[in-house]
Amino acid sequence: MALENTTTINLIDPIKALAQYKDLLITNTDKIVMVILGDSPGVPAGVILADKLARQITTNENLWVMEVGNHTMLKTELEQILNTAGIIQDETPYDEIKAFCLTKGARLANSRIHLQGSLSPARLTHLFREAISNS
Amino acid sequence: MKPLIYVLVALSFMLIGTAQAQDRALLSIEENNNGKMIPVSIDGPQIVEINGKLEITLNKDKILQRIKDSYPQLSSQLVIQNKIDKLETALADKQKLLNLLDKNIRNAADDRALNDAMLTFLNLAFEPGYEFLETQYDALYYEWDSKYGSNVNTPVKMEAYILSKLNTDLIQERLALKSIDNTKYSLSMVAFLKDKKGKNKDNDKDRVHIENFDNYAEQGFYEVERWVTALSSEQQTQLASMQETTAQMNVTSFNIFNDIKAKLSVYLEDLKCITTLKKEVETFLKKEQVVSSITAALQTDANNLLAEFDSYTAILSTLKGDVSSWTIDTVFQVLTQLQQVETLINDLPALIAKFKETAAAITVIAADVSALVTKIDACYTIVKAKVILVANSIGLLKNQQSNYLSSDLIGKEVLAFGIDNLPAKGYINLVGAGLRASGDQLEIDFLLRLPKSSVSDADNGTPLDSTVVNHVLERRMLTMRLIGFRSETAVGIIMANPFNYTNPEEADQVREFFYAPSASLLVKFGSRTSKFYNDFIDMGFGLNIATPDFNTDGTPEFGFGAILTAFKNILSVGINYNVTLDEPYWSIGINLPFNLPGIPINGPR
Repeated sequence: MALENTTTINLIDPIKALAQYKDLLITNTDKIVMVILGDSPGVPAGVILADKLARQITTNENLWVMEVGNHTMLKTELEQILNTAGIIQDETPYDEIKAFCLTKGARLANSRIHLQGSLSPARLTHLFREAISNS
Repeated sequence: MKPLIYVLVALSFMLIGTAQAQDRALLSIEENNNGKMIPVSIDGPQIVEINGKLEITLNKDKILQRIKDSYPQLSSQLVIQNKIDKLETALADKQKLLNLLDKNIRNAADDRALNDAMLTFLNLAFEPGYEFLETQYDALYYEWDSKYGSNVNTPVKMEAYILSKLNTDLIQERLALKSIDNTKYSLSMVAFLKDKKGKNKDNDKDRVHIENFDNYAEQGFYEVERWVTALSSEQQTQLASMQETTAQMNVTSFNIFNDIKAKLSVYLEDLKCITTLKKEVETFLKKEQVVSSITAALQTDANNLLAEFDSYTAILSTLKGDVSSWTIDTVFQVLTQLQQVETLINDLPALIAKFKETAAAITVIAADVSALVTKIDACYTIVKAKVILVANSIGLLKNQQSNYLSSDLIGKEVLAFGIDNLPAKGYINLVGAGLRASGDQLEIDFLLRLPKSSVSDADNGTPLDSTVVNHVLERRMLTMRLIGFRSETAVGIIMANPFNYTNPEEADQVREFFYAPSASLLVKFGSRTSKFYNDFIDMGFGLNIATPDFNTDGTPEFGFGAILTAFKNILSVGINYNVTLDEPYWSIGINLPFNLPGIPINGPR
């Protein structure tokens, strides 16, 4: 299924990946972006679901999904955002985070879905709504 | 090292036990101390300020769980009711949300309002107890997605679809609740004042008003004085006469348990007719005419009847035993035996009918059979009626356990709630609780009120009557104290020992101590954390005046000084000055709350 509201980060070329990252999160700050990390089971379906939800959730905001297929690419950039938000803690390292959502503008995160958590409609919608509320 | 480990392990278990007790508590009580909320833990000393304000928070989820665990007959309706309750909470903003969703173009404020309301809804779905909501949300999303997800212009928005479907669920759950055989239970909370020993005070004055839970008027403003400076009239009398004061406690509590046991004893006596009947049947079978004409069938029927009577008599003798020695625990064992008796009684009509039918065929003994059958019928009627009374009495005895609260203790002013409309909090202002003294207790009972028949149906199969049984789901006994510093007056006898004084009249005698009446103004401290300190150590420090008569001229002198007391003023030590004779002295006092003959307490000569 073609993803309409998703940017899939290049996992081979770090320069291209960084450019995608900057374009989506730094240069343009008008989108609320759900970041889905890794390739654990459930992630592919979760990305498709999040892509659909980005269009289906009733809001005036522009919702988007950024898929990063592993925990290596863009780690420095994303880890910094999560550290600032206090999401990364001793019991939840970066590698154990599956999804989080960034606000417009300042790109703040509020909560996350753990590696063991489910990318379900309710949980993904909750992340989107939380980011809308904090934007 | 090992003992230390044992102690640590024991302490760990105690702490775990304590935490578990608190976790299970249905009521969380806090005292409002000038805006600072102080928790009154169920496993702590439970001491509260006697003039304080209490805030009682009810934990609905734990209440539901407790009821489901303890009263399985209510389980199905409570599960549905719980779901209805939670759905109603989740859908509280449903109409507002649907109105906002209905707008195709929303301004920024509306869009924010929509987002906030949806976020509140979703936050709730992740709270403990609301797991079903998350599952339902996901299921309904996929349902909507399969129907309309691919449409660019969907006829119904995703959120509107989910909310409407959840609302349909709510309606269906309400219908389901109506369709099941509901037991009309209700929940109430009551509070009573008790004296230091936990006994009821005057019935009309012991109710304590709990805001939100009853319509009782407050008993009148009564603030227990913190700073007492005058002797009470009782103390004045005591001081004047120095007579022994003994507190008489007339314990005339109405002992329902014994009363019911007495009635039960009479009912059991009436059940003895079967024993007599057994003898009648045996006599009948021995009659010459019967022996000569009895058929094998009638003999079998008669034997069956006798066997039944034997079983009955055996159980009855065990059941009866010595009723007077029954305890609450015995009642549970007796219930099983009672069920056996009931089974036997239910079997009797068939056996009697069979016996009558077979005997009717033998015309020679018709008259004897008829007389016997009349007696059997009469006895059966008595036994059937009395067994119900016995069952009722045993049911009542069972209810005399500690978790039973008599209906007459609960006035019509006490409000009854369902789990859905149960107030979240109740408030008690102890200043409005009427006359009370430091050390008195406040009993707070959280009750499940059930129709008696529904309880007895489950317990022993016999409806008792149509009124309500009150089961205490949780009982809290709080001790009311003046917490912190307070003043108190005390009177007693001291033994004064002058440092240097020798009575010229008694120069040839060696006399160390002189008895003297004394009165003290003491500063004391009430602890919130230690019952042992409050009830036993209870130290005081203050001023003391006394009227010793060192020169034994019959005219009391005046002495004053400082005094230190302990153990409820039983023991005191003071350093004083006899102003009249210009003599310093020290004193010791032992004022036991009782007297022995010979103690010279009636004033100095």
